[in-house]
Amino acid sequence: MRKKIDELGRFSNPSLLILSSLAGGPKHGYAMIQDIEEFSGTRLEVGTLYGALARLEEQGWIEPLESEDRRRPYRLTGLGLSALQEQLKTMQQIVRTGLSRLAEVNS
Amino acid sequence: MKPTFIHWCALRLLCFYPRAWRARYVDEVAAVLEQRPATLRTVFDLLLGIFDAYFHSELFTERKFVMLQRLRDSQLVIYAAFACCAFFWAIYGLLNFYQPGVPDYDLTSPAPAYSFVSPLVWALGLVAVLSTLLGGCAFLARALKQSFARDRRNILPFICILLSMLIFMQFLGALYLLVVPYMNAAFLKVIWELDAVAFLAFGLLGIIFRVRQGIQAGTLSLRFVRPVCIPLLLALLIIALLFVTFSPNFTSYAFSSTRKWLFLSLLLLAFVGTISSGVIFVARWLRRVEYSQSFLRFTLFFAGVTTCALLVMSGLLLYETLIIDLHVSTLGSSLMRVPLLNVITLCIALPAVIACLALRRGVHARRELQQA
Repeated sequence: MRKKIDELGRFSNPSLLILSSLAGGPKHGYAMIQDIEEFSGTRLEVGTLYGALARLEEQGWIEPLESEDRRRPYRLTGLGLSALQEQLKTMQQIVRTGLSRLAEVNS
Repeated sequence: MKPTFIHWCALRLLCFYPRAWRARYVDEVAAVLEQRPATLRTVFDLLLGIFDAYFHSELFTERKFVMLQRLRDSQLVIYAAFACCAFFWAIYGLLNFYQPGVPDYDLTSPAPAYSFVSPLVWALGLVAVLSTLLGGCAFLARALKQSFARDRRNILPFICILLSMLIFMQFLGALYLLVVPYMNAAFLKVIWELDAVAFLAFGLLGIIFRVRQGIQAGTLSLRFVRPVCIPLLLALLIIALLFVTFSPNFTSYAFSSTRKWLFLSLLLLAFVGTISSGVIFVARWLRRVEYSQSFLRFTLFFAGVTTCALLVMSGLLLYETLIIDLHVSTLGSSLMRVPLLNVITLCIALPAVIACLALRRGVHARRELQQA
């Protein structure tokens, strides 16, 4: 049975960041770390990155491409794209609700 | 990036991950660590990762990717074992030709009954050579095709290093010409000199192309440069300089009594450097290529034939050596050749056993792939 991103335990947040990074095109490990640091300010460590990559690969959300030297790029699959969309929609809902409640409090 | 103690710790920690994890990710993680300075947090994160990898081993084992890697590695080990066996087999054969200063055991008493061994060993050796050529060439052709498709410049260092290794094998093979009756010594000298120059030239070119390519792509590994390239380049440059300076009388200059040991040690360093860097380079090259499941299943047949031939061949050679041992000991004579034969036979048998273990691993991986 397919899981949701937030069911990946301590790898949920890194997985979401990785999927968001790969939504911009295939990337290898180091490029992902740099990209994630740029768009989210989160410094992802290498052990966590590859722990999350293994889980994402197992779920079929990402797939490895042919390696370039020792660096293997990964890309988002169709399943990964829908998992990311679903998760982002939920988060969007949370953000919208949270912001509106904050606005009520502030007003 | 200057490697720090923490960086060293982070790299060492990778050795503690499960084998399947390492087979799948270690190159990638090492590449990331080379580009990004490790901190204490990285080390702690990698430590946590070790526990995670052991507790969730299902994520890394019995996966098609790992099985394919295992199938590929087992075959590469078999071909490497064949190269090792072939080298010592050549020395074994030469020992039968050269017997400086020792009486022939066969002349002192009736010959022991091992005459059937030699033709069998030659036949099996031929089978092993043919199957290795077929399987090995398939691997090389696939590697060349993929590298050429990726970038044409990729194949230059590969071809140069491969040529230098082939010339080295030809250099060893040329030793057999010494036993051909009426062989012209001057002709042999020319062949060896040409071999030595071509070997060193192609080896040097290969290394230079590889280093240049690595610098351009920013992927040059210090592990490759430090132990192999630096002594090799130094030795090659010194020899090249000597060769250019004294080319008309190079051999007599180099082999004069005072400079003989210096030149021979430099030559040995250059040969060992070229062969070791060549082997590392070709092995890493072949491991980077993507092989399909059908390709690996097909080539496993040739690797299997090579292994069986090597195993039977080494068994026969062990039998022959045992007979010689017994024969010589009953004669009560001691020949320097006999312990040497024992050592060389063991040097042939050991890679054959390694090839056998690798084949077992390969067959197991193939079966798991079929089940998957």
